[in-house]
Amino acid sequence: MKRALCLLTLWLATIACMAKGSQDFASKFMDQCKADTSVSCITVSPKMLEQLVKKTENNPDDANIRQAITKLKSMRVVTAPAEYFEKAEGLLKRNPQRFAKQDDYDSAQKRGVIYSRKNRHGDTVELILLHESMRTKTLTVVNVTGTIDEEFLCFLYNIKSF
Amino acid sequence: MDYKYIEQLLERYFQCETTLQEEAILRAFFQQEDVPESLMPYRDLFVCQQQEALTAPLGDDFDERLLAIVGEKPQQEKARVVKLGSRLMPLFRAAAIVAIVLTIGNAAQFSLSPRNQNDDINYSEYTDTYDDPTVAYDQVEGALQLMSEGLIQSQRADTLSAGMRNNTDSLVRN
Repeated sequence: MKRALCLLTLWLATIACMAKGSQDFASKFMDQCKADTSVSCITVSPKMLEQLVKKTENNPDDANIRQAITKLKSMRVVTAPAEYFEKAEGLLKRNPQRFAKQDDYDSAQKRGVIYSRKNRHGDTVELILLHESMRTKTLTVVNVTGTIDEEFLCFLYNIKSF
Repeated sequence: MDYKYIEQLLERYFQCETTLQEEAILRAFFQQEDVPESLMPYRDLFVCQQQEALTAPLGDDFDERLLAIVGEKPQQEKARVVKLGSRLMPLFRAAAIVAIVLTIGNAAQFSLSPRNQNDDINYSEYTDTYDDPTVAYDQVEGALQLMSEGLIQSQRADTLSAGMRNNTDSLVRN
């Protein structure tokens, strides 16, 4: 009886731990920079995104951005000093099973790198941009989660039509 | 003669409070001839102890003889050989239980999770930075703008590098 109870407790604890879920990249990065007050993070939750979709419903000019927001589940924007670029990319590189590098750019004014994460069905569910501005010497991390499909990327490539 | 000391020792003896030396004193006292009448009832107790100690102890073959009388053979105790495997058995059992629990947990999670779930992030932990949707909208728009710029920049970089590669190839060919 005791053994059965122990097994049941262990089983429930395991399920509880697994049900907790994982974090997005921005959360992991913020965990590493807890001590530094120069690093800040802005969070837009799924509920707020739903509100934004409703907010843009009445404006036909916002149709494109509304469609893009509909595909998103969350957004986090982290701002930090430029020195954090390597730290952020290092964190992405340390998790190659989770994050895959998509592209990068480097110029005299700015440099950046784009990473993505796929779920077990092979769909892209997270997109991360690390952007460093040489002028302002700041790193901006844009971390979006949701359905990052071709349609969403098309919106981003043609953002002028927003 | 005053035997108060002996009486006190006796009293302490029956209360199990005497030391070995005090018991030896009592035995020595009761060995002598002129033990007072009042203490005579205790004499045999101490004299017997003395005599028993002097008599020969049990022989080495006592057990065998006694078992022979009873009709049993003397059993030789064998040294127990404890193998490493048996010593680590509780550890193996614990590991097996943990493995079973993890397997069941994984299977349960896999079967309970909806198939259309896009990712494993727990969004319930998300707390909005802005309560005002207008401010949040500006942030989202700005972030998407930045992401767009990044994608376009990287696309340009790819096109440039591809063009340079073509130029280099053509130069090599020429």
